[in-house]
Amino acid sequence: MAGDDFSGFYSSSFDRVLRAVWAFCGDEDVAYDSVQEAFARAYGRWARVRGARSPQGWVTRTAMNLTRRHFRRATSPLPPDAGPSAPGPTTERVDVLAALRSLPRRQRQAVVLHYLADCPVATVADLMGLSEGTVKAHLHRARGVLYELLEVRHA
Amino acid sequence: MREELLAAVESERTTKSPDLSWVVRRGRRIRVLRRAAVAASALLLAGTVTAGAVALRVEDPAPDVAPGDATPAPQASPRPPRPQRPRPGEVVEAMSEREQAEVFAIRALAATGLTQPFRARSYLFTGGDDTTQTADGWRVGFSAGDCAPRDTGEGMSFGCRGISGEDRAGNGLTDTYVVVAREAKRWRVVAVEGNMPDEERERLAGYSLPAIPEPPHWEFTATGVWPGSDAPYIEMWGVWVGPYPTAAPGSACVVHAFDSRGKSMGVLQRFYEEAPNREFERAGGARGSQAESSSGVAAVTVRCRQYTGRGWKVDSVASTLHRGRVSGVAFDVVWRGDEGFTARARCRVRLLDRKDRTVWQRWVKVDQLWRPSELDDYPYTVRERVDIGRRPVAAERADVVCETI
Repeated sequence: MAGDDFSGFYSSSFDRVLRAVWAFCGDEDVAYDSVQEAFARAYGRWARVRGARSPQGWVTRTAMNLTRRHFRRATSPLPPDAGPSAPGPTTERVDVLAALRSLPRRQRQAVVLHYLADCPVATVADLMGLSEGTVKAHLHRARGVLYELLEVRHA
Repeated sequence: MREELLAAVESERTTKSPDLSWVVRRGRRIRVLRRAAVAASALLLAGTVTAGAVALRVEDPAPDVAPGDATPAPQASPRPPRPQRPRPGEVVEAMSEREQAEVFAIRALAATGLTQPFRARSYLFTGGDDTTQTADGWRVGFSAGDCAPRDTGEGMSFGCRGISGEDRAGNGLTDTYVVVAREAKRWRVVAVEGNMPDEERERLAGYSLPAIPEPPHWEFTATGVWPGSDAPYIEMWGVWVGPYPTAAPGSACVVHAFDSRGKSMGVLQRFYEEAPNREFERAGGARGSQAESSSGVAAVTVRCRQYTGRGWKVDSVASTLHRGRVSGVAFDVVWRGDEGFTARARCRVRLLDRKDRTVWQRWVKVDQLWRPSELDDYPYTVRERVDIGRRPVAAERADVVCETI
């Protein structure tokens, strides 16, 4: 039987990774370019990436780094809340994303990897180069801030 | 928290589509660059790591193919695909003459062995921007590329380089034109212009195939297998034999393996390829995969047919309640199609009131299963959960309908 197949991985992961990275950076075009580049890098070293704990987490993490690099090059900060460019989402959904984008970068990365890219805490720790305890602390703080922000906005 | 975030993210309707062919092209170039970078300085890599560029933290300095590894000539597809006659139940759509001409030119180059994934001189379709109609027929543009893996001293590197140069995006410049014409009931190569040696022109000139109405389907015209130290690497280049846009479903494809003596080793892999969602996707579709190390695979052929089988079906739907209101919906979908692969599905999840009026609705996607472990237990089942959000909805029942993409 053939081994893991990059094309299958790409088609099954693309949507979720793009949405996660878009949520992280707030700019759909930058997210798309970064995700495509991250998948290309995964393809370039597929023998290694497919054996990773979470290939999807690897691509998401790489794409998030690329968005940061883009905004650093552009000498402008990450947009805190660029909001969705497509019409339609309810105020409630925009609130969730706005709250997410208001988090400090590390917390936001941990949230995106854990909740949106579906990586276990151990994998997030591995991808971020942090201890599991630190990741849990980031997630705990992020949850607190998110709940607080959402409660305030809905109050 | 997970459900709220996922629901919020899912609600953002992206205008972007996947582009696998770009990823593969770029990925192959990255392999080349990475080999060179590794050879240049391991110290630089260490420095990059400490600088905190986490994307590079998991760089793999190990080559896919070891230096000095046995590198026999890459194997091409033993038998190129042929035009297909429609079967009962298949959708048939008319292709424009231009589309037919482009598909035929791609087929002609592959069938004569001039387009191959690992060939030192391989002709790559440039996407139709360079196709023009002339008095002689259709003039279809290609880029001559050097796709032979190169030994960098640290291992083999893969990737095509434009022989006549490349644009700033790394795409080879268009330098070769295949002129094709429809004569009676056949397509034929009537001339070749540009960057192609005489011996190759002679091979290509006069090549013909019957011009018949075909059901839209993917065709992997060129395949190659490169032996590696770990495992044979397989690459397949495809073209959509059909019009764009299309209402046809995607294709079910079977990869057959052959050993170095040309003896069949049976089916290596099955997969489903969606119909193109954007025009440029109809040419240049590429798939890459690796066979198991001890398989002895030396060549492959890919046979695709329009998929007319069954797809995902909803098996069960359950609502989760919070204080008498629906706070979430869970549903199981079962793949009722052929064994060995799945497609994707788009599912409409609705909450209905007592009069069956829709009070809440969301679209969700069921991803294609691709890991071998996911495809062990047929029929394949996937459970999806949809969170309603912060405000549960008063509803009588949930309804889910799925459509295979």
